[in-house]
This record gives sequence, structure tokens and C-alpha cells, in this order.
Amino acid sequence: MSAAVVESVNEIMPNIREYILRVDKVKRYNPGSFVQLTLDQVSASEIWPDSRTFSIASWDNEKMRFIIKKSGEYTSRIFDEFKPGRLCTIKYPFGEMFDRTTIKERHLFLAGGVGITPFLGLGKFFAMNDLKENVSLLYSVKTMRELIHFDELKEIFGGRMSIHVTREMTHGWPNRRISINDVQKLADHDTNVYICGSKEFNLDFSYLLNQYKYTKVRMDEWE
Amino acid sequence: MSENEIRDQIVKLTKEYYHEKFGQDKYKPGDRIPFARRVFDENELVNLVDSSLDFWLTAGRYANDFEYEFAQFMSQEHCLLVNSGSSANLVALSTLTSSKLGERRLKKGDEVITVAAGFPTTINPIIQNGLVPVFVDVDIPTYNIKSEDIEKAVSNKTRAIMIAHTLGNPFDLDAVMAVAEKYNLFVVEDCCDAVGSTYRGKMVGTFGHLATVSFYPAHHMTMGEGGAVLTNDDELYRIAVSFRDWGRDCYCAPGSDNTCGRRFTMQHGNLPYGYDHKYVYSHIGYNLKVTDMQAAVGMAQLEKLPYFVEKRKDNFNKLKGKLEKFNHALILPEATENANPSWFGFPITVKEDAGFGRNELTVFLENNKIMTRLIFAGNVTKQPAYLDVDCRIIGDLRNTDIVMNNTFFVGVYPGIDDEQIAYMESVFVSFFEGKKG
Repeated sequence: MSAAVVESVNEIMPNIREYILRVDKVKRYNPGSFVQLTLDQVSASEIWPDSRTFSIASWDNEKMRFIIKKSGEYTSRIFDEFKPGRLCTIKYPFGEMFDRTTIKERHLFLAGGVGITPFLGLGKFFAMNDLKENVSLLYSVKTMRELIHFDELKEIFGGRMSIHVTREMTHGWPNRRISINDVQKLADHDTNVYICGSKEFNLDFSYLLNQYKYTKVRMDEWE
Repeated sequence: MSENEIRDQIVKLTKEYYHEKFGQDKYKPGDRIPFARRVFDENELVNLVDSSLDFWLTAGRYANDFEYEFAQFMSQEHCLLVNSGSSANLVALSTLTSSKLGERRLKKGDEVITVAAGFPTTINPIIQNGLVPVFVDVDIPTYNIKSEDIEKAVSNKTRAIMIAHTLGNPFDLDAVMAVAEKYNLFVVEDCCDAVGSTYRGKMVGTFGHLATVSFYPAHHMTMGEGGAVLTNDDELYRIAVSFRDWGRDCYCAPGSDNTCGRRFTMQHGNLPYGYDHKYVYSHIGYNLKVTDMQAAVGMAQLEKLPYFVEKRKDNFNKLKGKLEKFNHALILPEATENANPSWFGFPITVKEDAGFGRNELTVFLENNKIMTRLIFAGNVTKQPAYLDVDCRIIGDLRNTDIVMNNTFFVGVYPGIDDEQIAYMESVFVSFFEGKKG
């Protein structure tokens, strides 16, 4: 458990914001990991209050980046209360989505909306290890405005990335949902496939991948 | 008065109490010189009382801080507090039996290389997990595993090496890790007596997969009862937490629920879907947690730890300088090559041809108020509890028997000062003068 302070806030869309938090106790970053965040300042000798779980988008020493979508009462409170200088408490890092021993295998990330968050960190991790050729991305957004950190993604994934914009026509990207054919083009059955998006997105793809006999499937279900 | 004002008042009174009760507790000629003892000041007492006022009782804010700070001191990513060094050994070795490790796991009947000249709870977890200890002889005067015999102990059943850095003296980590790498073995470094020792400039405990330490009062720092498991491996850490906390799958801290956010939405084993994750067990575990009061004492001790380590080294060197004149009869300790030990004690072996026995010398020292201790179990295979234990022995354990028969140690703990070292020397001088007469 660590105290953290909001360092900066960046609005991506009216309902999606990027928050940079500076943490007190620095630990090693595991790409794909998540934190439990409470708006309260608590110590480990107090009952853990109401909190939510968020994927870490990236983590550079003591600075941790989150992308949060306003989707309920608690995230609304975060939008209202998280201003630079605001203190909070986090527990971290949790999660077993990514197994470092598979780093040299092939990996496909399936992201829906803000579900791109853990893949930003994961993609960066592969790039830092000169293994970005091992990772591909299928990223579904409603509109181009919802697209987060496009330049960063392009740098990491290059031609191994396809963006599916479902509610508007764009140049170069398909105007439809991600299909199993898209997955099959980028992933054979030895590929590790990761899913992160809305509950519906996660359920649809875990069902579909199961039907098509993909066994190395991992899912990130956080906010 | 407000809650905070009362608390401040209690802290103030606690400091006063410390000075009344313990402030004059200094060595005087004629006092006993222990082999080890807690060294503390008002800060330990203040932290202890402060944590008791939280009345959190189980691991809390002090434990949280301690695990973070101690991991940094030991150059490790993870520190897991447990209630003793022995529990740390039990958790560490049990961790390697987890089914989560797949084919890498230790299974019943697998062999673990260790030594017989040491503390029993380095060995007990091997037996308690249905594994077979394989005993290798030790070297004198390092009192550590004989490097040249390690590979001889490897069989097709060997899966791990678990040994202690004896009395703070690091074992030959080059040799141990070379064998471990060659045969793909896990290594558990028992650092219970070796906090602050380094090998090739690196902290002990960072070479193997898991390390253990003890915070019993005799050790380098104390929290009364207490210990820790340390590792740089995230997966081993998570498994170790599970073994410590009843074997449960859930990693919520005490007082926390639903940290994973999926408490009621997962499938585990043959349980019904959505069975409360808090009550899902992935290991046959224990409850070996600490209280926050122990960790509170530990936090105050941790601040003194760098001094403790240096003082132990300094006392060792001074004592060795004083006793070198008796090396015709006594074998004095030597640091392992490439090691910089933070000594737990000062081991001495009475030579076979000294003209007197170990017990004659230790009785003399004890009668003159210098506490002595044996190197724990001596040859553990000869202890009553181990006579029927299924084990394998490499060679004849000749040096282990010498340790059992001829070796003991005296203290170098940080409470020993130059006056006490001079007194210790004078008692040895008296003993040898008596021998001449």
C-alpha cells in the first residue's frame, strides 16, 4: 500500500481522462498489472475503504499513468475530485495477465475503448526489450476521438496494428467491429491472446476465441 | 484533551519510562557477556506503544512500511513478513512445492541438498514437505558447505539446494549457483544469521530464488518473534503469500475485500461458479502472519541495522585479533573467499590435539560469565528426532562431526564494546595460563 498524489490530468474526451499519479513507495512495474485505488488517505492499519481497480497504462519510476473512463459513481468522483496535488491511496501491483516467461512468444492484444490501457504498458515493455515484432494489436473504438495515444501505438505496433472505428468512416481504418478473421490473420493457436474492453467486449471475444480453439487467452477485466 | 494530544502524551511518557526502566542498562565488569541480545532505545518502545494504540493487532501500517524498507535494504523486490525465521524457511520451501509452478515444482520424494551442521529449521521444511534431505559435509573454518562435494550430491531426484550462511559467513555462492544452474535447481538461501553479509559486493539472499531471515532477539535485528521471506520473483512471492495466509488464493490484505474486483465472478477447481474468492484455497497453507506491534519494533531496529552490521564486523575483527595468539590450540573462523560477513557469532573449534576438550573451555568461559553456544544441532543426523528420517548422506560428514564435538561460538553482537572484548581476551588468557600450570 502506498500514498499517491495526482501529478497531472489530461482530458482525452469529456468522459475519458489520463491521470498521472506519483507514488510514495516505488515498486517494480509489471506490464499488465493493476492497482486498487481509493480516494481516501488511509494507512494499512485501517479498514480499506470503497475503492476501484484500474489497469496501469505505464509506470516510469514513481510516476504511474492511468486512463479512466467516467462510467459510474466512483469514477465520477474521481473526475470531480482528482486535481493536481490531490492525495489518495493505492494498493499495487496486482494481476497475472502477463507472464514474463512468454516474452519471446507471439502476442495479440484485443482492445476495446479504454481497454487499450494495459496494452500501452505491455507494448512499451516489448519495445524496450527489442521484441516489438512479437506483438500485434486489434483496437476497436467508436470514433477517432476515442483513440488514445495513436502516435505511441504506431511507434510500437507499426504495421501490426489495425484500428476498427465502429461509428464513423475514416481513411485507412475499417468501419466495422473486429472479427475472428482479423484475429486469425494475426494469431495462430500458439499465440497468446489478451482481451481488454467492456464487459460485453470481453465476453464476446472470450466466447469466440474459445469456439475457435484458442487456448492461450488472458483477460483484463478492470476499469 | 484530543485523541492526538493524548497520544503525544503517551509517547512522551513512554520515552520517560524507557529512561527509567532501561536507560541505565549498561555493561559493568562482572556482568555476563551474552552471545546475543536485543539492542534498543526509546524508539522501539515508542513504536511498540504507538502501534498498540492503533489496536489494529494484525499486520498493518508498520508491517506495510517494514516490508517495503527491508526489501530495499536486502536489495530484493519483495519482502513477506512471517512470525519467525523458522516459519520463513517453511514458507520458502513450501512455495517450491506449489502446483502453480507446473513441472518445476518439488514433489514428494524429490531431494534437497543441505548440510547437517546447522539449525534444524533449515532442514525441517524439507522433511515436513515429504522431500529427502541430502547432507553434504562442511568446511572448517568457514563452517559452510564443502564446495567440492556439492555436485557429488546431485542425483536425478535433486531439485533444490537449501542452506544457511553459517553464523553470517556466506557460503560459496559461486560454487552453489554453478551447480544450481547446471542442474536447474532451486536455491533457498537461509540468511537468518546473515543479514547484511555480502558476497562479491552483493547482498546475500539475492543469488537464490528465495531468501529467509529471522528477527528473533538473538539475530542481527529483532522484532521479538518474526522473520521474513524475500524474493525478486513475482510468482514465487504470490505463492509464498498464499502459504503464509492459510493457503488462500485471494491476496487481499487483512481488512480488505475484493482487491481483485472479481470476488464473486470466477471459477475455481470444482467449486460452484462465483464461490467467494476469499475462501478459495490453492495451497495447503498456514497462518504465519505477524502483528503490527512486531513490525513497529522492527521499523525502529531497521534504522539501526547499518550500525548493527558494522559493529558486528568490527567486534569480530577485534576479537579475532585478540585470540590469534591461541591458534596453536584453537581454529579461528575465516570468511569465505569473496565474502564480507556480517557475523552472527564468533565460531571457535578446539583442535583435536589441543590437550583439552571443547566442553572444558566452554565451562570455563561460562563460569567466567562469557556465554557460549554450540553451532546449533551439531550433526543433525545424530539428533534424536532425526534418527529415523529418510535422508542421503554424502561421504562421512567428518567435519560435521568435528563441529558437533569441538566447535562453539561466542558473541560479537552490537552490545559488546571494547571493554567486554578486553575482558573476553583476559578470560582466554587465564584459561591457557591454567593449562600451562
